Amino acid sequence: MPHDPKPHVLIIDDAITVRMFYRDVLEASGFAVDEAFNGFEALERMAEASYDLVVVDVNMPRMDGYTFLGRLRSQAEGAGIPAIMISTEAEDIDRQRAFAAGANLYLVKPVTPDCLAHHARLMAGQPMVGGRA
Amino acid sequence: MNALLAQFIPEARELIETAGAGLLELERHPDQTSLINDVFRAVHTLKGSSGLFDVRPLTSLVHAAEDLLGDVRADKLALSADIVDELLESLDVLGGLIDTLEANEALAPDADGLTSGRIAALRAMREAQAGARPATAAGGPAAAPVAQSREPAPAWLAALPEAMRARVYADTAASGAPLTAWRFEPEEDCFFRGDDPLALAASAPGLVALEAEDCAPVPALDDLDPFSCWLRFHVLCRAGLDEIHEHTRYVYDRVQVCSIHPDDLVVPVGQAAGGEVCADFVEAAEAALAIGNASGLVAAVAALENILAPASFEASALRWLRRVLDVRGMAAQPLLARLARAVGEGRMPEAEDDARTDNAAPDSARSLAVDLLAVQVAILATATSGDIAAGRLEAVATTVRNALSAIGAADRIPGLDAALGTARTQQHHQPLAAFIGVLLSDLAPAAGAQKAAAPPAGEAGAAPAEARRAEEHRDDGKSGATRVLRVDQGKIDTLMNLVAELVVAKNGLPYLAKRAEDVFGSRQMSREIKDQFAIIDRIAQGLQVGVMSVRMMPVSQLFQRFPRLVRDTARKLDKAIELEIEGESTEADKNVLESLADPLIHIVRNSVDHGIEMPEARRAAGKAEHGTIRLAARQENDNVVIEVVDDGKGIDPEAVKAKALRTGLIDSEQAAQMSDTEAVNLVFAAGFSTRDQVSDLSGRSVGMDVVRTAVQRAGGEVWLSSRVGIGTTITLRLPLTMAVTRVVTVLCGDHVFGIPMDAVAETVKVARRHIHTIKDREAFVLRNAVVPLVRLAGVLDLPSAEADADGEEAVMVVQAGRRRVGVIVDGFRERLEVIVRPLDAVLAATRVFSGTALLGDGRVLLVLDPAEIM
Repeated sequence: MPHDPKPHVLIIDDAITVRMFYRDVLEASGFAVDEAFNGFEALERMAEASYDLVVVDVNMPRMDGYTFLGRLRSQAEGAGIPAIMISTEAEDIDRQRAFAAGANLYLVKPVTPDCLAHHARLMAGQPMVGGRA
Repeated sequence: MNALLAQFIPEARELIETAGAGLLELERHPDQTSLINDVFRAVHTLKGSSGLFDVRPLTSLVHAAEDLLGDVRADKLALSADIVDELLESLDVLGGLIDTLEANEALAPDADGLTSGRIAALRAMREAQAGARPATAAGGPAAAPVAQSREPAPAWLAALPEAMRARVYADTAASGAPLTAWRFEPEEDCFFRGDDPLALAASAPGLVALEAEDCAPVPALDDLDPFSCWLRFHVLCRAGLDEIHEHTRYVYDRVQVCSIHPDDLVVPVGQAAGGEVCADFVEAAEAALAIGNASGLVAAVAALENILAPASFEASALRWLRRVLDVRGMAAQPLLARLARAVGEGRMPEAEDDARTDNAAPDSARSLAVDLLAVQVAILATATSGDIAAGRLEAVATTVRNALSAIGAADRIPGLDAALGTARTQQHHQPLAAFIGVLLSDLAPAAGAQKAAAPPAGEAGAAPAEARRAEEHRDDGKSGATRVLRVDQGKIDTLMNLVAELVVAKNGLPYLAKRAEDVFGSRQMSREIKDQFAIIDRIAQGLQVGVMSVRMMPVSQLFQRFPRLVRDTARKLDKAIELEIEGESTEADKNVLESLADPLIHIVRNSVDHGIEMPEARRAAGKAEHGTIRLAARQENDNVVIEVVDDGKGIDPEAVKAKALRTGLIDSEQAAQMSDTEAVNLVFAAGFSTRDQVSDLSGRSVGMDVVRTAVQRAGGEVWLSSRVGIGTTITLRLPLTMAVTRVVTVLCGDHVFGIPMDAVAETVKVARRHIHTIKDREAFVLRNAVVPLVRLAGVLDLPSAEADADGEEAVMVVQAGRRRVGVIVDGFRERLEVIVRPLDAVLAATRVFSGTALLGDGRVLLVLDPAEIM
């Protein structure tokens, strides 16, 4: 049995519907998907498994997206995982804050399936032929 | 040395260094895929570059190491400590080969002997574990980029034997490494020009396949001209276009080179058999593909394979289906679907007429990537906190690397990694930002045509703004790209010496000004000379700072050997030791660092060997089984301070005293008066060793006294503090540079002497009535601490001048290590910058002076050694 060469993505969002939506999009474009409902749980997840990409929301209970990214970027292992931050705020100041925290892409909701799928594949080094979006 | 080789040698050293450091890191974090990729890439690059030279044994060894690493990377092999050992040993051998190559511009005749054993050992590692696959949590390797915006694959690929293509596919598809196909048709009369076309093809970098064929019908033997070349070569290389162009630069007009994608190798061949069973298979396979059911697909393939003739086109397509699935799994869904349909149609469908994959059009994917790269430049330009910066740098590099391989521009990845390496060592994002800027300007024109397309919804106009910002950055990137120049160290040393001479020579001008006034009676002239002196002084200082900064190196250069040293030594002793490194970006002069290398090795070995206890002893003492050694560097004023801290068993002052008594280093009275700190520092005394048995590791035949001598020779000092059961700290303090010493000149009688400024804590005037005699020694109280006094005249056995009429003594408080002593002198003079030359010949034995320096007026200044005065 061949080992699973799918890229792994971790979706971090406190809203279950949002997580389901991202999961559908990313699974269809060839990702193996895990979920976490806040930054805290995400860090625990990342200690157990390794990911090729994280997709993270800004506002979450217990640990928000900025804090999570800052922790991730300053830890010894896996600090270099590409991260997409998805927010409702389109202000420049929020974007700057995301960049300072270590996001590699800042998308503003609503995000279309294509936009998410293409960026995710690009950032995880997947050839640019999506599955069925 | 030819320029290419001169370029190769430092590059090779760097790559060996990178691979070694990466391996050690990898051993600690085995499931970090980026690390294995870094190591693999370094070794792979080394293999590619070494192929340019006639160094076959070296290339073969690198190749063997790369194969082994490839297995590890493909999860075929778990990285064991033994494998790391083997690889590190091989890197050492490679380092030795590079040294030889630098010295003789060729490998030694016995190079084969050196490497063949290593190669065999590396192969044995692969075979020993073949088939044993560890389960790792790591995501599989990124699937290779789909061919885009490049010329179509050459038709002759399909003519290569299927088995060979299959092998190359298996080797390359998973790695995303660039793959280049080239066709070489030598000129008929090439043999008359001393060419060897076969050797040229066979020595190609990253060679994975080589086929030769007749390029024309070969005439009958009688008519055959044996001096003509009738061959044509087809070559597949795991190397970038540039590498192949470089390799074939002398026959560029006879080769066609093209960058291919592993998927281009997937060409089923044979006669189509057709039939109902094939149509059934397509249906089953497509159903399995739709739901990502790999095992169902495998079952369908196996069922049909049993029926078909192996030579048929359909059987070939099925074999490819299996291979692609094996190597890339369901991620290769579009290709798998095409292969499945090929079984039904009896021909391979074109990728474009596959309506069921929503290909992102090459150009739009490219422009998306360009936007993403522009965002990365903007990210790097955004300020962040220090603890995030390093991780963010890695994340940006990973993002760019992934984007490049996703759009089929993997050939730019080595350049990216080089820029990342520079950014890491400089601890600044600029080199990486500059390189992304270059990428943008290279990729953007191709994407430019697509710019009219609206940005995908959801980005809220981010991309255009980002792109605009990137436009601005792009100009910066171009002009601000770091140009690194490799300069021979000898040249810089020459400059440094000249600068040092200049600094001293300029000190002659004030004397000249004085003479102009005193001897020639021209005050005007004197003032003009002084003005000129001020200008030259400023320029000389700027020059000195500039040249010094060139010679400054981060301490990491010195520290990088230690992870390996600690690991190997600890393994040998069955101890568990963690090495922590701090402040490795602290900079100091290259020579200072080099003079520190041996003492530091000795100290760290000592810590591993004698400091850290065996795991069971630590457990018994209620400590963590893992010992920790911390190497920390920091800058303090004009000094660099390096600490080696271990949490081992510490040094027992009583044991040291007893030993020192036995060896006659001290007498019992001294022993009784000694503080614990003074006692443990006895280990630096000549010929002292706390171990009666000499272990083979620390090389105890030389003791810490050698360390002290080496450090003092570099103008520094070393001291030790220790607590029994808690651990030991050894502190080294060295001047940042050795070239120019700042000295204070003091009067003693009618002589002038110099004392290095570093050693002078302060200068004070002490009233004679405040000088007390304690135990036959003079001392005075300075801010509530008793400071012993010595008279310089007494030390040097010179007649002393009369004390000040107002009953004060000029005292210079000299500090060496933790000790402070007040030195009574007859007066202070100016402070100077001088080059201290060590005393030689007869005078070398003089302990009180550390050297001599030439003064501006040509007189010789004797420079005192503060440690000896005390």
